[in-house]
Amino acid sequence: MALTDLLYRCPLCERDPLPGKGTEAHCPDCGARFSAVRGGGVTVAQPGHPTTRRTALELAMALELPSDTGASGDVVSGPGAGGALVAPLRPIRESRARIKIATGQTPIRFQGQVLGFMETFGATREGLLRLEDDALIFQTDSGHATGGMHQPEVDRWPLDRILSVQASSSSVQITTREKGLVSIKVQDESIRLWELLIHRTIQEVWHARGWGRIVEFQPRIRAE
Amino acid sequence: MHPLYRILTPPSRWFVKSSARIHVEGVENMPRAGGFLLLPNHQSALDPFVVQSFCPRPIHSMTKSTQFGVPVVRWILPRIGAFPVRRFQVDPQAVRTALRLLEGGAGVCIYPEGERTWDGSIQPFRRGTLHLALRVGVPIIPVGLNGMFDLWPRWLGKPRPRPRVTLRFGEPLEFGAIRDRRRRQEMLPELEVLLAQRLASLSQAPVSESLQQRVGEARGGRG
Repeated sequence: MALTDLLYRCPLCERDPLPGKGTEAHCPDCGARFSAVRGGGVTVAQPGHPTTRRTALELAMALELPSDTGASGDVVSGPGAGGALVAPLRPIRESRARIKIATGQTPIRFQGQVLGFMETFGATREGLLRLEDDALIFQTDSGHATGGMHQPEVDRWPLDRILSVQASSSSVQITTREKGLVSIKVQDESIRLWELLIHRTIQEVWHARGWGRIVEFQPRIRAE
Repeated sequence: MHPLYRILTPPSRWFVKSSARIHVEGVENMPRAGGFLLLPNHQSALDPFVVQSFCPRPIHSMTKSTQFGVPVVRWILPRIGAFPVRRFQVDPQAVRTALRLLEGGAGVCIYPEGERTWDGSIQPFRRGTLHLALRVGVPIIPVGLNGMFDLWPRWLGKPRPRPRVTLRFGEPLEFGAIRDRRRRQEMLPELEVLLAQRLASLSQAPVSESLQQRVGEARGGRG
């Protein structure tokens, strides 16, 4: 995790993504430098301006999610992304990612009692994750050969069939009706950004379906 | 409680004191006997160490199930009072365990925001936690953590050295045991408003826009 997980784009000029590492970030467009400092704050040094100290909350509130690019818009790709998925509809964002899907659950027992359950996961797969306006799509790098052609495996999760969304440490976890829990580790992009983008896009789907305003994304998506 | 809890509490306190300049207030607000529910704000991955080390009575912490994935951790966690919750679904077993412990006179700690804050502000509370609090009828102790976001914000890879941290146990909120679900649903906004006020006051942390909106709606609904 890094400061750029919080500041997923430049709060001053909106450059997306904002490059950085650890406690530092630097915008190549407007020249602003951001450094995490004590007190939960961030200093902002902008060429030609005095260095100011802002709270993480102030900067986070100054951020706006990247707008939906629409049917003919360009996909915003994270570093290392590339390649196109099969028949993109309305691409919003794509990034390299690793996913693992829960295969079952194990009871946690103690002193003769079942305290609860923990999930067990299948193998981690690596590939390209893409958020479209009606689905989250993952295409693996590996796959199987059919008639001499390499066929990647593609998982497609329609947004109206996602039951919950949450950030957990450095992953985004979604629960789908068909596959259960899917843990997604987005590489080189802000996990916070992906969580918020998925939230917003699901909210739009729910709005279009007339299902109401979502008030909670975990433990399950609920509207009022 | 398992002996390991008692054995690990002194080194855990030492660890917290060596990581932060800790100040604890409000221990007199803790009930001397019977079940109680601690509801702290959640600023950092180290919050459970701080709350558990300095709470004057042993507590069982509701802990995300993924923490139990490592075998050694899975062995230790139940012995120091933790029990798992699957946060990605409604988890009836986690609720059953919490109810069993509370009704048996133990203390349970649940972070009502459901996850750590990204920006230091207090996030909206999970409805399930508020329902549980209203259902069980034990004293609800709001707990304010201040400075933990400085120690280790969610977006940093490692903690920063020795910030000032304050842990405040608030005065208990008493609602009684509300068994009727519809009645609990009616009481939910009142608890939400009260908890937001208490946590903001105890932690001195700002309230997020989304929680402010929820509190505003709850007040509107009541008024």
